[in-house]
Amino acid sequence: MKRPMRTALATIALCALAALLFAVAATARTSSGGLGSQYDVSKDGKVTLTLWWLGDQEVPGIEKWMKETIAKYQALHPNVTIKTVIDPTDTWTQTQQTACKAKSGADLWYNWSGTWSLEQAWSGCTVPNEVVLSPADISTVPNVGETRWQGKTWDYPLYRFVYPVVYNKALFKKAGLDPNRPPTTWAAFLGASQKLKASGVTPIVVGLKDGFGGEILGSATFQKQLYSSYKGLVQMVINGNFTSPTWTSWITKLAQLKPYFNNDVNSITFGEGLGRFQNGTAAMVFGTPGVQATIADMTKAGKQVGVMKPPVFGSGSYANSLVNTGNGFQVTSWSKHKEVAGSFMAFMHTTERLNALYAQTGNFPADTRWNPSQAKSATDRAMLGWLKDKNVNYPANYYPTDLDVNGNFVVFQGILGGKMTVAQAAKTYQDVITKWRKLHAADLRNYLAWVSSL
Amino acid sequence: MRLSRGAPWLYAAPMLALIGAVFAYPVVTLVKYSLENVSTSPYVPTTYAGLSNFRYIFSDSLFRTALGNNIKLFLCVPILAVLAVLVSAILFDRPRGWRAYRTVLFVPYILSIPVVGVVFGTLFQLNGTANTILRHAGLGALAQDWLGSTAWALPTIMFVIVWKELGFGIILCLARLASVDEQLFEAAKVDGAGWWRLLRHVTVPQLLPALAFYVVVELITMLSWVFAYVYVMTLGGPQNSTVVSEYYIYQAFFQNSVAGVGAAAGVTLLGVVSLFILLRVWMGRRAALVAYD
Repeated sequence: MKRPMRTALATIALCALAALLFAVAATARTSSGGLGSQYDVSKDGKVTLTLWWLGDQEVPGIEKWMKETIAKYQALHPNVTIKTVIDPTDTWTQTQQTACKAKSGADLWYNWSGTWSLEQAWSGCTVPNEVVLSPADISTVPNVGETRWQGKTWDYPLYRFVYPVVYNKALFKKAGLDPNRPPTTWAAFLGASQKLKASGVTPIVVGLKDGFGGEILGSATFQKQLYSSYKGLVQMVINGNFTSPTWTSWITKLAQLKPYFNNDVNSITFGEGLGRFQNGTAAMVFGTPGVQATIADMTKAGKQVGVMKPPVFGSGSYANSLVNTGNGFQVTSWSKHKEVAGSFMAFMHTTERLNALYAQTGNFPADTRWNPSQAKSATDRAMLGWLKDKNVNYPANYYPTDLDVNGNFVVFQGILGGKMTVAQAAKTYQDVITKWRKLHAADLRNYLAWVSSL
Repeated sequence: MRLSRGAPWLYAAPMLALIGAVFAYPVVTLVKYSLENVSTSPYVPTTYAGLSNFRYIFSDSLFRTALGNNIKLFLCVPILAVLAVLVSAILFDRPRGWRAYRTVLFVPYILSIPVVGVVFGTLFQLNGTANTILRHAGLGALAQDWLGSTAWALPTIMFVIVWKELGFGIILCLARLASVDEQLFEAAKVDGAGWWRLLRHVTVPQLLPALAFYVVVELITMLSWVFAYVYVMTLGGPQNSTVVSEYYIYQAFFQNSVAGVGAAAGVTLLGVVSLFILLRVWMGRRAALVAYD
């Protein structure tokens, strides 16, 4: 009996030793091989990262911030060199596709949220955040939800674009409106627009020549009002009817607003429209990325400016909200230094860098580690309060670009600048989506998978 | 010494290879793409599509609108030809200051299209300079939303194209007239031909080779060189009313990521332009026969 007993004891001891060794090895891996902010970059030797992005074209002032950020990161990790390449916005998606096809170019690149990022993910060109960042890095960035697909998130937003209605307080006062209590309901908004028109100013200004105004208005002011979750919107893309009374309801509201826009919407660009608001010839403008800088410039010039949420008419829970979208970075699937790229992405999200981002660009960082008390202006504080209430994302990020370019662009030009009827507008959307479904069978399957992820 | 039959081909081989690389490869790739569902990623396979991309574009109302707009732009060509002949005939008579006129008329042709587009884009806004002048002159009823209305946007682009392309035609015609024997004009004048008769029976026939070249080049321009005008002035709007086939191709490639569809449109355009090139060769020969007869 003694012999088997000894053998059993030896076996147990051996197993215990093996378990101990495994545990030690596992612990060692965790401490030196964590991801994102926990990743030990020094063990990778000399690394050169290439970052492709759009720089100041997207957020004026951000190139300086990025230069500083890279310098600080390189000082912290002397074995890493980061090169940046600024690409043109117009051909950005095509540039990404070409790089992906050649499996060369960027280690990480900038991207917009929603379909923009997911299309790269669906093509296998990028890896999910979970492969390069720690759970702690991801959990503080609520806007990663915009790219949630198959249990992973596919873009790591750095800042948030917001879409309020901005108004000129002096012109409100001139029209007999309370500048500190802007309209909140649709009826009140129409009433205010009427009074503004009667006072001799253009109530709302927009430029639609370049189309983007249609996307911004349609998406951030009108379409979101129909939804309480964007599952419904993605489902619309898959098999919805864009001539249905529900979809048509927001177009009817748009048509009601037509008399209050400038009469030359189709012959000026979005930027020119914004310029008219800035020089005080129009009372309201639908805000756009970079709205904080516009407000700051106007305030500096002595103009009093307020912000409001788009007026409510819809019954979806998103109706009464300020729409935002978080844009950031993705790591490419062919990068040889994915973890280092993840480490740099996490570094951009350190509190010091987030504070600097807000100070230098005025854009809200997309990370809860940034303390909103940094915001000093009343307009920024108001917008941050609304964002805290509800994180409602930009609807155009949930449908294909075709629906935007040949849908939103065309419909807004037609309704506000032409003679298009509500029924024709709805049919335009339906025609576009029918064509898109016919051409994009693979994408349609991805949208189906996306619905179940939302 | 006699060269072997293959020797010329051998000498020409480097240049043929270069031409092949520069022209044939892209064309072959374009045709190949037009028959495929082109994947934008190495991780997703490209599949053979047969003629479905062609079937798609010909069933797409936007492509039909685009081709229709290209055909409408052809209206610019007779206008350009007539104006080029008239202006060059006037300048050929060397009126006072003709050198200055010739320079001024040629300047638009050398300006870059984006600059022209931006300037005219501003000029033709609803509240822009053109309409302001009309209103001040008491002609406010004529003021239009030149680039912002579906009815006027394409004609306005046509006006800008004519303004810009006319200089080329004038210079071509003047160059041709300079090489015509003066005796032809003198003889006609001695026979009592007035300015109009001289134009009709001497100047125009002598201009035919140059005009044939100009007309075909401009037809090709209206088909495949107007993207920049549309892109800078209207971006295909309002309501896609100024989309041309090049802009359609741009949208397919860059905005909708359907390279196969864009390539099918490109192949169609290439086919039509090739026909015009053949027409140019034929017209050039016919016109030369008429002019030198």
